[in-house]
Amino acid sequence: MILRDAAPPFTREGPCVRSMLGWTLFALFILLVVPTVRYGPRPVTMACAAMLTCLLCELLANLLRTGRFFVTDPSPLVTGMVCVMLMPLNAPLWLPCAAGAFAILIAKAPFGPFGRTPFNPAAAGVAFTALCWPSLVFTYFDPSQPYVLPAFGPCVFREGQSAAAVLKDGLKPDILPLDLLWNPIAGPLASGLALVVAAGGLLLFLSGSAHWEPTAFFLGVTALLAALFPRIACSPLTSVKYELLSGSLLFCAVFMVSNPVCEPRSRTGRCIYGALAGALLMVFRYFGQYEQGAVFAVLAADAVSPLLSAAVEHLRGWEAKAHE
Amino acid sequence: MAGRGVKLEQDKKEILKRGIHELPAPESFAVPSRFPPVKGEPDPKRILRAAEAAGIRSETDGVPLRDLLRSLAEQKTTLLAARCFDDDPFAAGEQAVLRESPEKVADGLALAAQACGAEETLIAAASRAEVRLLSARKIPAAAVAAGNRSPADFFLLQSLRRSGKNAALLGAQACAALSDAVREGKPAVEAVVTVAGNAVSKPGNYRVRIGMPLSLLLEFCGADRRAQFVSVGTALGGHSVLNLNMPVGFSTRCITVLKKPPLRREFACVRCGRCTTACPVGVVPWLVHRELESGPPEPLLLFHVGECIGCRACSAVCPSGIDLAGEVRRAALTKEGGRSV
Amino acid sequence: MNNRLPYFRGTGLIFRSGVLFRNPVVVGALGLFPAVAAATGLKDAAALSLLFLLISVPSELVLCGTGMLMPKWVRPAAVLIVSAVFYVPAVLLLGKVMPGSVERLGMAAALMTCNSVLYSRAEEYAPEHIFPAVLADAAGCSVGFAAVVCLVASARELWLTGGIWGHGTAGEGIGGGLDLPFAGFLLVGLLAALIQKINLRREENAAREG
Repeated sequence: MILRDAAPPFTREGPCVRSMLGWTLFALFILLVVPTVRYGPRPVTMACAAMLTCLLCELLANLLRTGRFFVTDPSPLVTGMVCVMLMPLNAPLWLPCAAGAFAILIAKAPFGPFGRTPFNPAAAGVAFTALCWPSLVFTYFDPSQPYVLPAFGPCVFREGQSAAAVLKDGLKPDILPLDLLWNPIAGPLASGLALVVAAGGLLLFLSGSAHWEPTAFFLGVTALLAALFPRIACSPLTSVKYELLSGSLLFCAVFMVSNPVCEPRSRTGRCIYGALAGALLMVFRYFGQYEQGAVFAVLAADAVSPLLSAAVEHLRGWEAKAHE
Repeated sequence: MAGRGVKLEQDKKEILKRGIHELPAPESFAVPSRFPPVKGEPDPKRILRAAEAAGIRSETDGVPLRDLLRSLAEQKTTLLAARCFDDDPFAAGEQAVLRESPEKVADGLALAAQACGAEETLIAAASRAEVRLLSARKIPAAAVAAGNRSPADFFLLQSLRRSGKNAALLGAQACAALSDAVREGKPAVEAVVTVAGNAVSKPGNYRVRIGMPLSLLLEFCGADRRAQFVSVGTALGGHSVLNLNMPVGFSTRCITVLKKPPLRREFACVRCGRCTTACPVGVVPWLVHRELESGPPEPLLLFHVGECIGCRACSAVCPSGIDLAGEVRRAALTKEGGRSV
Repeated sequence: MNNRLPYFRGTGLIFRSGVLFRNPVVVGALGLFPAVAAATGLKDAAALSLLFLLISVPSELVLCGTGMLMPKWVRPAAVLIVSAVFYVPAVLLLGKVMPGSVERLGMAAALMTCNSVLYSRAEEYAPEHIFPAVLADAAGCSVGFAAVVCLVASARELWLTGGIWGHGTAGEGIGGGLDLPFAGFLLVGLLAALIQKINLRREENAAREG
C-alpha cells in the first residue's frame, strides 16, 4: 500500500463551498425551464453565453494573479446565471456577457479568490450594464404576443411595460397581483417565476447553502414599507402583493441578499443587513431613476455590511479592551 | 455563548449487527497467563491491584486504569459513568462491548466506582433504544442516552456537572476488562477495534491482541492493497498512518481505510458562522481566524481559546475547509505566551 | 559640470516620481475630484491640467521662498491666498489658449485653487526643499496629474461618444454611464494598480541588486 497523509478531521458535517454553489446553480438552472418552454431556446443560449464569459474571465484573472490557468469553484457560473436572470430575454446576447465580465474582472478578481468579495459581483455587473445601457436593460417584450425569440440573433418584438414600470408611473398594473406569481409578464427573466424562485429559496435554506434571516427581513421590510406607503391608490395588501411580485425583488431576496460571502457574520447583523437592503430597495423604487433598484440596494447594503459586523461586535463587547 | 457541537452521520448499523469477531493472535505472541482473581468481596485496594496486575489501560487516552481511578478518587468523583457510545461515524467498539456483555460492563463500572469512591454509577448508552435494551435485560445500573452531537462525552459531563455531580467517564472496554480481572484474573491483552472504510471488504468490530501490527489486521479484514489512506482513532481527532507496522494499542479504537485520502481544498472564510454554533465551549473560531490572518493577533479578542477541548467540531463544519481547530490551538499558544506564533 | 550631474540626476528623479512612481492622484489619492468627476472629456481634462500647471508651479515657488519665514499654522491660509492670486492670470491665459474652456469647466476651474495636490505640495514640500527640487516636483506633479486626468477622460469620452477631443458624437459611443463618478473611481483604481505593480517590481529589483 502506498499511503498518503491528510490532516484531521476526516469527516465533515453540513455543506461545503462546492455543494453550496452546486445547490445554488441547480436552483438557478430550474428557473430556466419555464422561460425555455414558453419562449424557445434563447434563455439557454443567454445563460450559456454569460456563464462561458464569466468562466473565461475567471481563468484570465487567475492567470494574471497566479500565473496558472485554473478555476477553483463554480462561483463564476453562478454569477453568470444571476446576471442572466436579471436581464430581459430580448436583450442582445452580449449584454449579460458584459455584465458577467464586469462582475468577474472588476468586482471579484481584484479582491482575490472566492469568499473575499466585499460586493456581490453579479449585482455589480448588472448595475454597470443598467448604468451604461439602461434602454437595453429596461426594455421588455410584450409576452402577450405569441412568438418564439431567436436563439442567437437580435429580437424583433413589440414593447411591453413591466408591472414595476407601471407602478413607477403611479398607475395600477392591469394584471391581477396573484397573476404575477406564474403568468408570463414583461420584465427580467426571473419575473413571473415567483413560485419557482420561492421553491429555489426553500431548497437553498434547507440545504444550508444560504441564510434565511436576510431574506426574511428583506421581504418583511419591503412588505411593511409597501403597506405603509403604497405607490398607487389601493389597499395595503394589494400594494404589498404588487411590490413583492413585480420586478426582480423576489429573485434578489432569495439569490442575492442571502449570499453568505457579503453578509455580516452574526445572525443579528444579517437581520439588520436584510432589513437595510429592503429599505434601500423601496427608497430606490420610490425616488430612483430606474424601475428596478434591487441590485443598487444590494450593493449599498454590501458597502455597509462590514460596519454592521463591527457594530454587532462592539455591542457584544468584542473589542480589544482589557475586560478579560 | 457555547454552541451545540456537530451531528455526524453514523454509518455502523451493519457493523453492530455482526457483533465482535475474535481475531486469533499471531503465533509469535505469548499466551497470556492468568493471575489469581479477587476472592470474596473486593475492596478498593484489591480492585486497584487487580487493575494493575491485568495491565488495563483506558481506551480513551491509554492511561493505566489504576492511575486513572486513583486520580478520580483524589478529585472526589461522586458519579462514574461508563462510556458506552461512540459519537464517531465509524467507531462502534464501545457500543459493541455493551451489547455483547452488558452485565460485565455494569459489574466493572460498579467495581471502578468502588475503587475511586464514587457513590453513583451510570451507563451512558448510545441511544434510547440501547437504554431500553438494558432495562429489558434487567441490568442493575442506571442508564441514560448520551446525545448524538459530537463531542458527546463533553456534553454528557457538562449536563451531569450542571446537576451538581462531580462526574467522570470510563470506557466500556476498561469496565469490562476490570470485571474480567477482578472476577476471573484475566489480563487485559486484547482491545476491541472497529475496522471500517470504503476500502475494506470485511468491516466490523474485532477483538485483537494488543501489539498486533496494523498490516496483519488489515490483511485479515480484506483491505484493498490500492487504498491510499489509513487512519487510526476517531474521524475528528485521529491521525493518519504511513507505516502499517504500527501496533494496535489500547486507545486505537477505530481504523479507517479509504480508497482516497480525504483532502480538503481550502477556500476563504464565507462567513457562515457555523463554527461558532458548533463550538461547545464558546470559542469564536472565525474571529480567531480573522485575527490570525490579519497580522499579529490581538490576544484580548481570542475569546476562550485556552478552554478549547480540541474536539475539532469547528473544522468539521467549516464549508471552506479551514483548519480552524489548528488556528485556535495556535491562538491559545499566542495568548499564553503574549506573543504571535 | 561634473559635480552638477548628481544634482540634475536628483531633480530628474524627483520629476519622475511626481509623474509616475509617486503620482499624486493614483498613489497619493489626492486631487480625485477633477479625475473622477470633472473630466469627462479630453478637452476639459487638458484645460484642467493646464490650469493646474499654471497655478501650482508659481504657487509652490512662492511658498518655497517664503514658507520658512512664516509659522507652520499660517501656511495653509498662505497657500490658499497665493493660489487664489495666481488663479486670475492662469484663467486669463487659459481663456486665450483654449477659448471657452473656463466656462465649460464651471465650478471645477474655481475649485483648482484648493486642489489637494497643490495644497499638499505647496504646504508641506515646497517650504522645506530647495528651489530646483520644488520646481522639479511641481513640474512632475503637474505632468503626473495631467497624465491621469487626460487618460481617464479619454477613456470615458471614447466610451461615451466614440471619439476624443470632441470628435465623437454624444450617444454614438459604446454606451453610457461612464460620465458618472463611479467610472472615474474604477479607472483611477486600475491606473493605481498598474503603478503599484511597477513600484513593486522596482522594489524587487532594488532588493535583488542590494
